[in-house]
Amino acid sequence: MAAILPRRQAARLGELFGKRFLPGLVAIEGAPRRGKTDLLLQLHGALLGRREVATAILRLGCQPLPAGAAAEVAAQLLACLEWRRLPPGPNDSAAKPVLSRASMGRLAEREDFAAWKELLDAAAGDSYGFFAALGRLAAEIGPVCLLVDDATDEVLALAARSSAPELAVVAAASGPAAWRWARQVVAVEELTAREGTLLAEGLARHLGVEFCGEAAQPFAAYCAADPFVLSSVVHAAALAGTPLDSTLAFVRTYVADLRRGTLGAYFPAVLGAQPGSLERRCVLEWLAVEHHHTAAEKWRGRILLDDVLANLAGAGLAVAGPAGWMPRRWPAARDWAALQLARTETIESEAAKLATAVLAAAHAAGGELAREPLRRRIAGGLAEAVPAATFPSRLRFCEVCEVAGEPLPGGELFLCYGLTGAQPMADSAALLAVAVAGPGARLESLLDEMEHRVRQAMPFSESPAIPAGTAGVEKWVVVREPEPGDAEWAASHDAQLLDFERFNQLIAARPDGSVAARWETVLWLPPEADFELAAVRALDLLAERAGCDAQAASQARAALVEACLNAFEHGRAGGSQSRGASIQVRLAAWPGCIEMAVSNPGAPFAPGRAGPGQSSLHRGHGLKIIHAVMDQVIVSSDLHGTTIRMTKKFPYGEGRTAGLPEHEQAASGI
Amino acid sequence: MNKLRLESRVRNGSAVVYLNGYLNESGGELLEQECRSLLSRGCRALELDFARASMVNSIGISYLLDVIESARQDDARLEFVSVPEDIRLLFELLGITGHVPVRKP
Repeated sequence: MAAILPRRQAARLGELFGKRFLPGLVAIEGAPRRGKTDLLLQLHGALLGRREVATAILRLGCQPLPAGAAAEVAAQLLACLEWRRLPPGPNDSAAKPVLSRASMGRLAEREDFAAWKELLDAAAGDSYGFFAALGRLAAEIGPVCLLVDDATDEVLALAARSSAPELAVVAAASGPAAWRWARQVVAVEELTAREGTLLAEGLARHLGVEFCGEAAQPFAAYCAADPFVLSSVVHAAALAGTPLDSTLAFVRTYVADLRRGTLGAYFPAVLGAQPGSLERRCVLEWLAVEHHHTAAEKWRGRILLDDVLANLAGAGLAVAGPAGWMPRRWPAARDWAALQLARTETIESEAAKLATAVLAAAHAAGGELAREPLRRRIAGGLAEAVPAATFPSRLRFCEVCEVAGEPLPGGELFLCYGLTGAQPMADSAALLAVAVAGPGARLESLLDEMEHRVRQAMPFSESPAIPAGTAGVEKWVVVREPEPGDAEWAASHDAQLLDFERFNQLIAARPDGSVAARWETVLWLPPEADFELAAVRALDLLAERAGCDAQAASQARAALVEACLNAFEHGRAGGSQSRGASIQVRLAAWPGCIEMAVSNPGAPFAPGRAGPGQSSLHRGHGLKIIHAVMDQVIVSSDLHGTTIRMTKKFPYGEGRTAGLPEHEQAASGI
Repeated sequence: MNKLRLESRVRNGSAVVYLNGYLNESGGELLEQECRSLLSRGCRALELDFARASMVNSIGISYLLDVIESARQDDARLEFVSVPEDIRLLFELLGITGHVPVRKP
C-alpha cells in the first residue's frame, strides 16, 4: 500500500537503502507519535522487494531483547533466503518472502547451520550476543538488514559498535542516543499543518469515512497534526459510521474521552501490567503525546497534569510529603516518576521517553518567552487538582533539562544529579550544585564544571565509584534553583531537601533490597541568616539513615550550625554577595560516623575574630562549641577561603568499628 | 525549626516567657527586648521556658547573657526551665549554668 502521506523522511530512507547497502546503524529519530514506525514499515516493505538483502524487523517496544527475538529474526531471514532461491516471476516486485515453519525445520540441514544456531542461542536480553551472532550470520549468508522499532539505547550502542560489514541496522528511536550512535540520522519532525490536513483527508478517503472537505484543516489543527490522534479519530469514525463534519463534534468528544479514558482509567493498572504490553506502552506514549502538545501550546485549556499526577499517586509513584501526595515541584515529580519506573521495571527507555516528553513542558514551548506562562498554567492545573487546604501556597517550579547540549540561562544556580548507570545506586551517584557563570551556558560546559567539582570532592568523600569523567555518567538531571533574595527561597529549600531525600532514597537502595552504607549530600547555601537550617535538615536525614543516636546527632547539629554561621560571616567578609560567595556544605554519614565540611570563599579565617556586622560580644563562641562537641575538627584556611572539617563518631552496634563503612572494614580485615 | 515566637504570662510580679522555635540572632534580639520590657514593668522574677525551643545557636545564647546581665542589674531572679538536654549542654559549654539556674524538663 502506498503511503497515505508521502514524507520527505521516506524519500531520504529511499536514498539510503533503495539501491545500495549501508552497513552500520541508521536511526530514525523523533519524539513519540511522529510516524517513525510508519517510516520503518515503509522501508521494510521496500527492502523485502530486494532479493539480495535479507531483511528482518523486530519490535522491541523500548524493551530489552525479549525471549524469542532471535528465533523471530532467524525465521524472517530464512524466509528471505528461501525466496531468493526461487526463480523471479512475472509479479516478482510484488512478491514477499513468506515465513515458513517447515523451512525452520530444515534449518539444521543447512551448511551454515552453526551460524544460525549461534544466533538462535542468543539469550533473552543478551543484546551483545545477539548482534555479535547476527553479524557472523550476515558474513555467512550475505547482506542482512535488521529493522528495529522502538530501540533501546543499549541496542543503539551495540548496533553501532557492530562492525560487521554485511550487517545494517535501521532503528526507530527517541532521544539523544540515536544521534550519538548512528552514522546517519533521519530526523522525524512534527507534521506541518498542511501535512496534517493531507493525512486527515487521505485517511478518511482510505477508510471510507464521509468527510467534509472544510473540516480537514480545523480537524488537523484540533489534533495538532498528530498522526496518532488523527489516525485514531478517523478509525473511530469509520467504526462508528460517523461522518466527520466541520462542527468537529465527534472529534472533540472522541479525543476527550480517549485522553481521559487512557490516562484516568488505565494508568494505575497498566503499571502493574507486563512490561512491553500494549496497555503500558499506550499510556506512556499518551503521556508523552499529551505533554508534547502541551509544550507546543496546541492543546490549550486542559493540560492534564492533574490527571497525570492523580494517576501517579494512584499508582504509588507520587511523592508523599508534608503537603500530601502532591509533589511540590513538578520536575521533581517527573524525575521521581521516571527514575522510579526505571528502577522498578525494565522500561528505562519508556521512562526516559516519558521524562523527555514531560520536560517538553518547559523546553519545547518556544523559548524563554513561553516558559513563564507555561509554568503558570502548570501551577494552575495543580491548583485545580489539589484541595486548597493542602495546596502549598509557595509552590514553585523549576526548569529541568537532561539533554547534553541544552542551552542554559546564565547566572543561575543549578543542582545536578548524576547517575553512572541505569541502576540508581549510591556508588554511581553524584549530587552537586553548580553555578552557571556566563549567559547562555551550555549543559556540556556545565557538566565539565561538574566533573571538576566531583573530582575536588573526591578526597572528602573517598567514594571510589564517583565517576572519573562525565563520559561515564549516563544520566544527568539539572534543576535550576530559584533566584536569590526571593521571599520563597526558604520554601524552595524545603522542597529541595525533599528532593535530596527522594534522591538519597533512590541511590541508597540497592537492587537486592539492601541499603547502602554511606550517604552524602552537598549543599550550596547563600550566606544569609537561617540557611543553616537547610544544612541541619539534610544532616538530620543522613544521621537518621546512618543510625546515629539522638545525642550525637544533636551535637553534630549544633556544630554544623556554628560552622555555617562562621562561614556566613566570614564569607561576607570576603566582600562578595554574589552567588559565587555561596557556602558549600558537604555531609557524609555512615554507621558509626558523621563527617561534615563547611567551606566559605571569603577572607582567610581568623579563629575568634567576629565577622563584619557582629559585635565581638555576640560572637566568638562558635568554634568553642564545635571543638567541644565534635571528635575531630580541622580548620584550614587559604586565599581561596576557609573550610572547617568535622568528624563525629557514635556507637552503632556490637563488634563494629566506628568510622569505617562496612566494605572498608572488610577490605582492611578489621 | 521556624523563627522564634514568644509568649509571656505575668502574674504577681513574676513572668514566664515561653520560647517556641529557633533561638538565633533575631530570636535573641526579640527575647532580650521582651525581657527588658518585662523588667521595666516591674517583674522581679523571670522564668524562660525552653520546652518548645527547637534549637539554639551561639549568637542566640549570647543574647541570653545580655538577659542575665539585665536581670542582675534590676535585681531580678532569673531561671531557665524545661531545658532540653542538647541545649543544656550548650549552656554548660558557654558558661550559662554558672550564672543562672537551669532546670531540665
